[in-house]
Amino acid sequence: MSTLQASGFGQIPPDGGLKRNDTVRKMELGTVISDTMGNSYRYVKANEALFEGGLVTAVAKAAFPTAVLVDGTVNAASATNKIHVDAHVADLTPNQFRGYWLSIPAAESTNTADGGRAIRIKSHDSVDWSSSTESDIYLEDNIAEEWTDDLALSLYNPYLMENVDASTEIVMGVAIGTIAAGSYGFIQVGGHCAAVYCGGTTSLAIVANEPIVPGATIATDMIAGAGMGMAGSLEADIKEAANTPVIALQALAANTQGYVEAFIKGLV
Amino acid sequence: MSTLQASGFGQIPPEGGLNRNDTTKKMELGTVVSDTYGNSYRYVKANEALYKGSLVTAVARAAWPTAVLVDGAVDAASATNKIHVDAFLADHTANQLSGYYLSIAAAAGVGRAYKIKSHEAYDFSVSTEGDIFLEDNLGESWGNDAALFLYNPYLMENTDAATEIVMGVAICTIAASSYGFIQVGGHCPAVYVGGTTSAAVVINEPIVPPTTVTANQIAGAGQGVTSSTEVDIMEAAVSPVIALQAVGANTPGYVEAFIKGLV
Repeated sequence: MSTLQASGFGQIPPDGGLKRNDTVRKMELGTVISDTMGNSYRYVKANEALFEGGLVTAVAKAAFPTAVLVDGTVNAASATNKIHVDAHVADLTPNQFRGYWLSIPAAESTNTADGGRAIRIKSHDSVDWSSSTESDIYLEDNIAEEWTDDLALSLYNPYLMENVDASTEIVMGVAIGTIAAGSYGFIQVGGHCAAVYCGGTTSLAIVANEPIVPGATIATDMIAGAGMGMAGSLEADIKEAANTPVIALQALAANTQGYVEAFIKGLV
Repeated sequence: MSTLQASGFGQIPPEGGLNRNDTTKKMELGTVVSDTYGNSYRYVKANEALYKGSLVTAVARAAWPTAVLVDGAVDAASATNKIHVDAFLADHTANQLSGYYLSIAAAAGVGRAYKIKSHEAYDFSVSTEGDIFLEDNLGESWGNDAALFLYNPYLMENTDAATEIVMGVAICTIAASSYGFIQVGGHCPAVYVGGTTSAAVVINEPIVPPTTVTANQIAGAGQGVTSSTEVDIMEAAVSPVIALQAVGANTPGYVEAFIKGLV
C-alpha cells in the first residue's frame, strides 16, 4: 500500500493510505476525503478491474438489475418512507444496501405521472433467502409518487465504477492504483493528478491545457479507461469538454501510449 | 496584511490573514484553506510578480530544469520508493524539496509523477549525489543517467495565452519568488480584466486569459472568450472563472466573479 495519506478536512481514511484494493468495504461508498493540497479522493467499488491512471465513470443506472419488486402499492399521499419489496435473489445482512438508491426505472416511468425520482436507502431488514424473498426498506425521504404493486425497481449505487469506453461518457475520476473487480478503493476526483493513462495506437494527441477525454474506439489498440485528446465535430467537442474535468498539464503525441500529468477540476 | 481570515475546515493559515507576500515559506506549497463560505485559497510560490485580480497558472513542467540524473538504474519490479540521484547544482537542506515532484523527462509517453517525501541534505561542495525517498514505489523503470524533471505544480505565474488553464486568481501582490495565497474557489470580489485590445466580458460567461500580451493587455488580465467556436470550447473548458458582471471590450478594470471549485 502507498504511504500517501489524506489529512485535513473530510473523513479520516482507514489505515493503509489511499492506494487501496480492499476486498472488504472499509467506508461508505462515495465518501470523499481530501489532503491538505485540496486534492480529493472518493471511495468506490470497482465493477471491473481499474488501473492506475484510468479514467472511470459510474455504471449506468440502466445497467443495474430491476429484479426487486414493490410488494403492495404505496400511495404518494401516504407520506411514508417505508416500502415492502419482494423478489430478493440472495441473502442480505441488515443494512447491506444502505446508501444504495431505489427508483422506478425509466422504462416504467409511463406507469406514473412523475415517475423516476431516486430515493436513498436508509436501512433495511436482513433477508434469509431460503425462507423469504421479502423485506422492509426504509428510505431517507418519503415517497412522493405512487409505486404500484409488482412494479420493478432499480436498485443501484452511483459509486460503482468502471473504465470509460465511449468518448462522451462523463469522467467521474481517475484511478490512482489497481482495484480489482468487486473490490474497493479510492479514485481521485479533484486536484493535481500525477498520472493519467493515455493513448493507444489509434489515439488523438493530448495537448497541454486542453481536456483529456475517453477513447473513442475501444479495441486492443485503445483500451477502456485510456484518455486522449478531443475528437469529432465541434458539437462533440463541446460535449466532451463539458463531461471531462481532466485538463492535461503536458502533451502526448497521437498514437502514443503513456502517462500525462493533469489537473482535475473539482468534481465533488 | 488583510484582516481576511480563513476558518472552518482545512488547515489553519499562519498569522496575518490571507493577503500575504511572505519572503519565507510558511506552509507547504499547494496547501488549501477555506473560509466559512467555502471560498478556498491555495498557498503558492510566485515565479514572477502576481497582482490583485490576475489570472494565474502553473509554470509548465517543460519549463523546469532537467539537470537531476538517476544514478543507478531502478527497475519497476524492485518495489522501492528510494532512488539515488546525481547532478544537484546547489546546496539543499534536508527535505527542502519535500512536496516537489520527480518524473522522467525524455521518454515520450512515460511520465508518471512521484511526489518527494524526504531527502538528505546536500553540501554541493562535497557531493552532488543523494538519496531521495518518494511517497509511492516506482511503477516504471528509470535507467541510469536518465534526466528527471524536478518541479512543483504550485509555482505560479500570470497567464499569457488564451487557452492556458486558469488555476486561480491572485488576491494581492506576491513578489517574484515570494509566497502567498491565490483564490481557487468561490466568490471572488476582484478579477482584473481588459486592456485596449481585449474582448468584452459578458455576465455569466467565462473569463479567459489574454490572447496577446502587450503593454495594452498585460499578462494575467482576463477577457471574454475569443475567436472561433473551437477556441471558445477550449477556453471555456480550462477556465473556472465565471463573470458576475460585464465589462466592455477594450476596457481595463475589475469584475466580480465566481470560481467553480478548482481543487
